[in-house]
Amino acid sequence: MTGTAVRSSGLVLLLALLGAGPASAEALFEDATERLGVRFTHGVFPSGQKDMPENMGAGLAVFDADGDGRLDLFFVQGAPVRGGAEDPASIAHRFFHQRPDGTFAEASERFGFGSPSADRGVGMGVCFGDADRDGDLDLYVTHYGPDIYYRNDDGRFVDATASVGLGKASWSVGCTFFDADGDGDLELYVASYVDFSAENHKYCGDAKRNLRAYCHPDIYGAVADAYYRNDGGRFVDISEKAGIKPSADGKGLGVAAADFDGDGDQDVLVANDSTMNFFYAGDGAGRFEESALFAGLGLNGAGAAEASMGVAAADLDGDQRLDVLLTHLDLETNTFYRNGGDGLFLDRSDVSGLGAPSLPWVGFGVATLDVELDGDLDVAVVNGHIIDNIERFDAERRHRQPAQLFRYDGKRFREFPDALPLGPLVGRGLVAADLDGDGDEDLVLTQNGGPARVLLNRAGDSGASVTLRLTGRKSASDGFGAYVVAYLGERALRRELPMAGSYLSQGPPEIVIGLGGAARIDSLEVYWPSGQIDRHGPIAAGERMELKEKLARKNGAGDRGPSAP
Amino acid sequence: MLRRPGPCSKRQPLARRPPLDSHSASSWSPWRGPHRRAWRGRHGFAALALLLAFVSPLAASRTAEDAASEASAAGDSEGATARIADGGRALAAGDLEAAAAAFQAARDLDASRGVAWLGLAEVAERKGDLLEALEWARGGLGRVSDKAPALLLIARLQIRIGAPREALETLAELRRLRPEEPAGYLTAAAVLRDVERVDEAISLLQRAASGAAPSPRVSGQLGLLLLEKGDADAARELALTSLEAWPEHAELELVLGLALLADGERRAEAVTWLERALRHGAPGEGKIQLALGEAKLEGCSEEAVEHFHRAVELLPNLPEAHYKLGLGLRGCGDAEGARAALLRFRELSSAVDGADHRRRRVGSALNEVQRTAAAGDIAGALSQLETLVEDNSADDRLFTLRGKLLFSSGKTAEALASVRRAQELMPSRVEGHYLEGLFLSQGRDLGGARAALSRALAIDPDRPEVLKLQAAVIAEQGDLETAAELFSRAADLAPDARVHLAYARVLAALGRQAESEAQMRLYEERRGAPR
Repeated sequence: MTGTAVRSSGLVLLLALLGAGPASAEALFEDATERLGVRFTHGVFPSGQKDMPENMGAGLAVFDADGDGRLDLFFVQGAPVRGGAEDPASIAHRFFHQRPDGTFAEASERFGFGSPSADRGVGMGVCFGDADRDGDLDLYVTHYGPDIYYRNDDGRFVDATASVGLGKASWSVGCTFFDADGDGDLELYVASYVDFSAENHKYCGDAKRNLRAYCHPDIYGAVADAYYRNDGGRFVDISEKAGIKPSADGKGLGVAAADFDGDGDQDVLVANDSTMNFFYAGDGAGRFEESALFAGLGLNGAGAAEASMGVAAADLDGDQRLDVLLTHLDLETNTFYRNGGDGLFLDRSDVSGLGAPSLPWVGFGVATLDVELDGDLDVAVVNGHIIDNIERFDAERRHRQPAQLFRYDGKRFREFPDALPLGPLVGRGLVAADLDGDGDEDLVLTQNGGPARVLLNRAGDSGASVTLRLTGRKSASDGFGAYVVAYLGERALRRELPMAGSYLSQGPPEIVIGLGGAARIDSLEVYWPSGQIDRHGPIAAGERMELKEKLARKNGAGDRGPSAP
Repeated sequence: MLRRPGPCSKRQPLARRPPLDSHSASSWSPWRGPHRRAWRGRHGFAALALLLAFVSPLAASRTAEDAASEASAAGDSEGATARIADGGRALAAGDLEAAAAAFQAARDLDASRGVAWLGLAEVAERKGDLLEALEWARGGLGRVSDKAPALLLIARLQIRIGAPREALETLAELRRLRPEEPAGYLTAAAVLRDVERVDEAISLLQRAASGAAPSPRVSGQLGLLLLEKGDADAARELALTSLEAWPEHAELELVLGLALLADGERRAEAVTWLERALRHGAPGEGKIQLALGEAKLEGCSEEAVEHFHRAVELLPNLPEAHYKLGLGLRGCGDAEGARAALLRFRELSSAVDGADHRRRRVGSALNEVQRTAAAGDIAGALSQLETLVEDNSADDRLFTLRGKLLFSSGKTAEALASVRRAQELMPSRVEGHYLEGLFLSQGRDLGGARAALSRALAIDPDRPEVLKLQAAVIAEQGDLETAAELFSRAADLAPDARVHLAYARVLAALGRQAESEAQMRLYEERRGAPR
């Protein structure tokens, strides 16, 4: 067996072999926010003018900041749109360090996030990657206002924005690090929303009733996204040269990078709000062609642009192709784009079971995870309206909305009501991550103007899994862009290494593979973005492994499809 | 040339109305519009089918047949009954001038024959003058004993001029009078759906289907609405049950086919039912072709592409059809064909999207103008409006607001021109007609004011502001009986001190002292303690 066995859980294996049944709805997740000491509340800092940036944030990141093997939490904080903060501490992004006992300690100051300038912008989203290739994860935090790049210097984060050439000043939202040109270092894509400013602010709502509301993005113009090439740790904006649309006709929110079209290089999908999504098909050399319409990813199946917010990229239907799920406004479905091969995606929301149940809700964060470790990916979505006084305009709609869990039964997704012990929320960011290291993925979410919540997965306690971390050599050091195919008897499970996505958020670069009752993975293939395909296995249930990219030979470069074991 | 109808008939008030205001909260629907269409596009069958569900009542022609029999039996060849029969025959033959002359003659002979008014309404409708048709229809409604056909005619006219709220009230009255008539439910459901009230539409049709007015069409429309709401399971069950009662009903087969489409495992069955629905004449062939193509689309499917081609032929201006054709061709590797179809899609959809975006931006800008005006800067607000009008000359809301601001600046002639422009752009909006009536009445053009207010009341007879103003105008003209009737309705709908006072004065002038005193008492109560 290749790789390093980090840990194995005999209890998990024993329970799997005993064939413990599925957990009841009540036991699927435990709200452990308080118990774990995660006390973060997102601040809206309302001006009373319904300034748009107030209601759009914010995201979160779950990653191992200091290399101690435990996952930490980073929450993006809001700030006043107009004027500075009276108390700069109130607008600090918050960092929670995981202790050995699994609880969290607020450690923002210690990790370098404690003292923001009073006039820092409104925090929106976050993404991370080993941007300087020093083996740890650096952060990029988007703002309404100048963005901040935090370089990770051995566990202390330093604002190195100016020194690396970053700091986009328009209203940035989603972002992602990814290796666009195959040189092993990470480029950065930053989506922008609209050209709102306090100076060009519009009055939306009902002026006669003096009832103001947050504006629809149609009221404002779009702002062009930015693409930065990584030149040895310094970033250069080459957006236009690389093919990123300068015409600014997209109002971006969520962003995800992956090899969507299966041609062996990284592409970028931008979830645009009320305008056609962008699909930038990469050429492997750092240039892109926008082809969302041609790929079927720009619009829903009826040819309509939707208010796209969050994005998930995963093989949701188990055919070893990367599918896409975008979350949307109420009265629109969350739209499931099934990858039909050859770079063509078709809207299969109805058939998937993910469409109709989403119609009443405004979807934001979305996460894919195998809740019960049965080998199928399930979907969690957090919802929450954009207009905080929506009830005054429409008595049937609510600002706070329920989160949803959809379980895949092998054919379609079915909503599992009340599976998430949350109650109505103003959901925004959502990340799946194995916080407690028990082999199943938990959920962390943020709210707009409310407390973050941590849900520990209890359904997975009775299943078995294998957890993988990937380390690239020719590929990016954190394995970004890689995916694996695990073979278990007749089953082949494709799993992506998580990167930025959801809504302005990013989960840890770990792959958790539920074994669905199998005692082991018979064989495992790792598809590195370099083209290298590594094979491993068998791998016993309960293993946590770090797999390093082999350098000796290049198996089947260009052959991107999974093969039989 | 038709002579204009007289005052509107008295009718029961159905509900209190919000004040007239084209920018009221009800007209500001946050974060809807293009999004709603996005969903509609996916489930757009209901709209097509429901439009077809609207059965033309041919109110006058139907009654004219009875009149013909009646006249024949009575040996009457010159009276009103015979003229009505002539009008009905002419209408059926498409001779609108002869029909108009015959119905007008019947009305001249006997103004109480409501069917003559309805005949004139149908003639006006066919000539395209919907507001005049509405006025005639309202006149006829008060004069016919069987009100159902007249109400259905009025509702149809209200829908055609884009007055859904008013149509819903008319249809509610129809259901009250004729609860067993499916059209009262079907049409109302269609309207409710179009104003985003799908749940209410479903409840209404469920009430009809479960006993009040069961019919295959009711079940079919209910199924389509359930699909639109995303409840494919309920739609499937409904269709299966209903098909047992009404086998081979095309609309029910369509519902079943669409419901099965949502189940990835039963696409073949879905195709079978959709094809059956087509054979049996289900409405909306173009949309069915799209659904069939969708059902067969997987990788490259020549059959799917054929269906999409057919849909494009049938619905050449539907962006969705071109979009699906483009993706179908793309799946089969026809990149050139795909690009052409997608380019056409972009051309068609950008016009629609552009209009949506413009309207939303204008809505926001109007708020700013109102705020400027509310701050007392009328000149500034007018200046802002002028800029907006330059780029949005087809938006009636701008002209309505400009009319109000000009009027408040004492520029009555310009104000009138502005609200008349608003009427041209959106004839169904009561406010434009009301403002014209208001402006004209202030200039003592009582005849013109009365005509404008009659148009407003034809669209919606239950607007208290309009009723009050019309009553005052008519009282000034000396027709105190009609004024009293209108004040009475206004007082019922929206009682306030000034209405009671005006009503009391009219009643006193008519010598109806006791009633006048009662109104005075109400006036005192509403006015509160004397200063």
